[in-house]
Amino acid sequence: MISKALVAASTKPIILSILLSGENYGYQIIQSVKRISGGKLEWSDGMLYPVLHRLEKDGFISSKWKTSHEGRLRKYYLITDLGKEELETEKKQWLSVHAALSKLWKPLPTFD
Amino acid sequence: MFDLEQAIKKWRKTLRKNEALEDGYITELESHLRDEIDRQIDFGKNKEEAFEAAVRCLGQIDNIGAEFFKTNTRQLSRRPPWEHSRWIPSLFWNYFKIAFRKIKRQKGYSLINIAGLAIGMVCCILILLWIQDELSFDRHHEKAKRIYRVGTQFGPTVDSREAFTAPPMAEALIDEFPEVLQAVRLDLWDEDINLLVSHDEKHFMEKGIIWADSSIFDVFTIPFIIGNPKTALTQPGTVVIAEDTAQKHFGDEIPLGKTIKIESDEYQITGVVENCPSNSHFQFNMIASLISEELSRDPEWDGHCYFTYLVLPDRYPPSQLEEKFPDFIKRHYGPEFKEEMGISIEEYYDGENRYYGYWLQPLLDIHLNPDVGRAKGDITYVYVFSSIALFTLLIACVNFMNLSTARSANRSKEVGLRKVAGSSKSQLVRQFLCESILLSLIALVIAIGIVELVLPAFRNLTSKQLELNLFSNWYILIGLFGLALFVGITAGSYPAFFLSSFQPAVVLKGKLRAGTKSGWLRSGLVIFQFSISVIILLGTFAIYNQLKYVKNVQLGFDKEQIVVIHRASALGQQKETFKQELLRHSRIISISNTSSLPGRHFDPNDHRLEGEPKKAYVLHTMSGDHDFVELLNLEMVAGRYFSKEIATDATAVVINEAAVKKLGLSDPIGKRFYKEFGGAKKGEFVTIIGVVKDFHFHSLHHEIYPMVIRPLTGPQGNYTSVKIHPDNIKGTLSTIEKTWKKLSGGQPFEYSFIDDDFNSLYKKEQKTGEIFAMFSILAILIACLGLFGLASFTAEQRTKEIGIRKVLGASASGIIFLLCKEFTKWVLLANIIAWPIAYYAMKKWLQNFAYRINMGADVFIIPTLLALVIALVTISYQSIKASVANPADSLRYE
Repeated sequence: MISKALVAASTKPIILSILLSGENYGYQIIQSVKRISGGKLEWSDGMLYPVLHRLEKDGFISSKWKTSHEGRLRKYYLITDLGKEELETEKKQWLSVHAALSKLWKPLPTFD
Repeated sequence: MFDLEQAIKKWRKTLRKNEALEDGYITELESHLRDEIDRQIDFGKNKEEAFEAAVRCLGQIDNIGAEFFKTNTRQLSRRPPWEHSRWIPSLFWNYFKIAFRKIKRQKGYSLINIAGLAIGMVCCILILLWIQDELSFDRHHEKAKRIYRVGTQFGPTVDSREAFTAPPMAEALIDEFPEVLQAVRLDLWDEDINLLVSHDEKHFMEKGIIWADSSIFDVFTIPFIIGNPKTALTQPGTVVIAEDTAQKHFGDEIPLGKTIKIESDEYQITGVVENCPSNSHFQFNMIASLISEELSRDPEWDGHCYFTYLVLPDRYPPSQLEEKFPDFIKRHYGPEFKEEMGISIEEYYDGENRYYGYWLQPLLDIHLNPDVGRAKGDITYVYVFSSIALFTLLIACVNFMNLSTARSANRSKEVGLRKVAGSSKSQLVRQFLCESILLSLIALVIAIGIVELVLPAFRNLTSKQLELNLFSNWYILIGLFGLALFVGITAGSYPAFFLSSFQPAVVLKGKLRAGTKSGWLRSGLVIFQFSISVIILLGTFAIYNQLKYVKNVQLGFDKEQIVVIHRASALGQQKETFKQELLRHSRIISISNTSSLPGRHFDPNDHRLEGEPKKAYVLHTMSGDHDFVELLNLEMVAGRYFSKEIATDATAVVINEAAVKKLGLSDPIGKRFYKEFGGAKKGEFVTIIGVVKDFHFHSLHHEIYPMVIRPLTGPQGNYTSVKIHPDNIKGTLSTIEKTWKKLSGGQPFEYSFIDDDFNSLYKKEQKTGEIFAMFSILAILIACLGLFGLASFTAEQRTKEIGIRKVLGASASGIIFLLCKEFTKWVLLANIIAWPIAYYAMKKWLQNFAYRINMGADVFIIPTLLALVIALVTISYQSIKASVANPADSLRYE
């Protein structure tokens, strides 16, 4: 299980990354996250939507309503240019954290 | 059968309740829900299970709503409106709004409630101010907690403790005990007495002149304005004066170096100090150097004439010093004692009931300990008034409880509806408490206004400089707010829990009968209220009866139309001329010169009978000339009084009956005392030539002490008393004044009447009586306010019953009787409860007097009747109104 703070911090880059591969709607985004993380990233389903709205408000994503073939109304989200830029900065930050941690966790050199 | 669409519809409805969730959001969430349900059904769950799992997956609606709210709001707190604030209870402002509306709607009841609470608070605030002042005495001295007063204990019990000490003590203490850091002697004998102060050929009468060692400024905190505290009082004939006194005598001139005369001695002014605060146990306008007095250099240890104060190190236990006193006494007083008494001090201790020792009294205890050293305060009164304050406040709170529960029927529907609408019990409790706190806050504001209005009168009553400075001290504001909160919660708690516990189903059906359930409690509270009022009332009556008694009792001497001229010794050798000149006037009946007078100080002195030098009797002593008995119209029971014609009367004395009894003499005439008070040093005697009938020369607090009158000769004696004719007293007084001015060289003429002087001995009791009277009136007033409200409520509740009774033929007086019966019962019961408590309390108080009234039936009956009459008058308005109402009106709607 991943801690709450880390889940909260990673939500934004994860959503933006998923949307990079094309427009998507809430339910699908959640399913993707579950699949990709192997169920280790656990979100309360409902909590995704406020985050999506926040991102939309900040201008990183935009949305439009579509009707599915079952006649169900769905709100699709797509990433904006601003969102792409934001994702790049996020990515750099995450990678530098990753690099730092990797270095630290390299197996210690042994003297034999 | 589970209907999925129906379930989703219901679910949507619950989402709608959350104000952050807009329609678009809900649609989005719903489509999510449906997707999830489809997936769950694919897994093989039935519709119902799938729906429940999907809802669960979505999470708490309120949390989602809160997140949406955060996304959309720009509010700093980002607290969604449906969540409770951490600081302010939900619906807080709503409670206030409702409370204000209630107050406005029920003007009469609100008025009674607020008025009652306000009066209770006024009592409480006034008394708290008084108590605060009493407890603040002497705290302004920086070393207050380390200052002790040395006293002398003359007998084995603490009753015989006094505060006076011998002149050489202060110096000896400093020399011998390193823990005594500083010591000072004060001579406060003339503190309350007018002394003649003159300078530049002008005469003034000045009170508050004290004598002190120069170390007074090391021990006590007395800030200097001009002058040097180190040197100000080190020389004989120097004096430091207070700011106001300097202003009065010299205006804006700097008085440093000026010479003034106090009586006949010259003093140079060496400093000006700040005025003495009123809450100091000694009061001064001038401090003269003690070494100006010859007595201050007296090396003898048997004179007890000065107050000695000392400063101990921080946290040094005074008992440790007290333990060293017995040796100290043996070393210093021992040799002198043996020479004087003929026995050593150790031998003296061996005798029965003998003790002589020193003790330490903390400075902060001095004011409230009335038994020692002329303290003016009394800790008992602090306790008594504190309880009065508390009880008046409780009476006011009881009013509120009574009226609120009595009116519960009117509010039961409201409570029912609120509960049906989803209000919880705790919310209702909060609402009712809010109402009572609001009322008590309004009452507080009114009370502060009233206090400001009556404070000048209260200052007069208590002769204290009391002030309510709201903004000088934060704790006064907080204290007052706390008071309002306390009153609000105390008064509101019972009604709040009572009202909020109604069952909505029951009250909405109208089954709850008007206030019957709480009837016993209401009557209990009224009885409690009236008991307290009656106790205070009884106390007031007992005090006034006792004061009336002590003022009208036969004192054994004539006290009417006797003018006492003070400072008679100022006439010097002219005294006899003064007497003869006045006696020429027809309106002057007799004149006598004396050293003391009834109501004034009589020196208690040791007397020894001839032949028994080891047995001392304490007799109170005065000196009087040969006209004294005639002046007061005293009766001689044996022998005769001094006569001008008989020369041997210079060595004669007259004693009273009490002295005869104390001395155990069957035939006192001709018996002789040693002339010296202490003992038999010179071997001279004085002879008893007469016995005067006992008369009260002290207040009635005390038994008549054994006393002895010595002959007064020449210019001695500070009082000249003149018995005058009751006609044209003013004219006679101006004649006396003219003669005085002529013979005293223009000195101010000071006089009083002996009956006034004597009555002023009961000043403390008089003040207590007045304060008691005031608070008993207020307590009764509050109780009556409550009674009035209750009566009007009862009358209102019973309108229909009264209507039916009238239709069936009841008379108006019958109805009035019916309504008054219950209240009368309560008030009488309250009286019965109050009697034993008041009896016990007043018995204790009366023990202050050796001569006292009997707490007979009359003391109880009048206040009881008074309370009853007041109560009946209070309820009569409502009762009469109810009894004369037309039954057709009250029954019309049935």
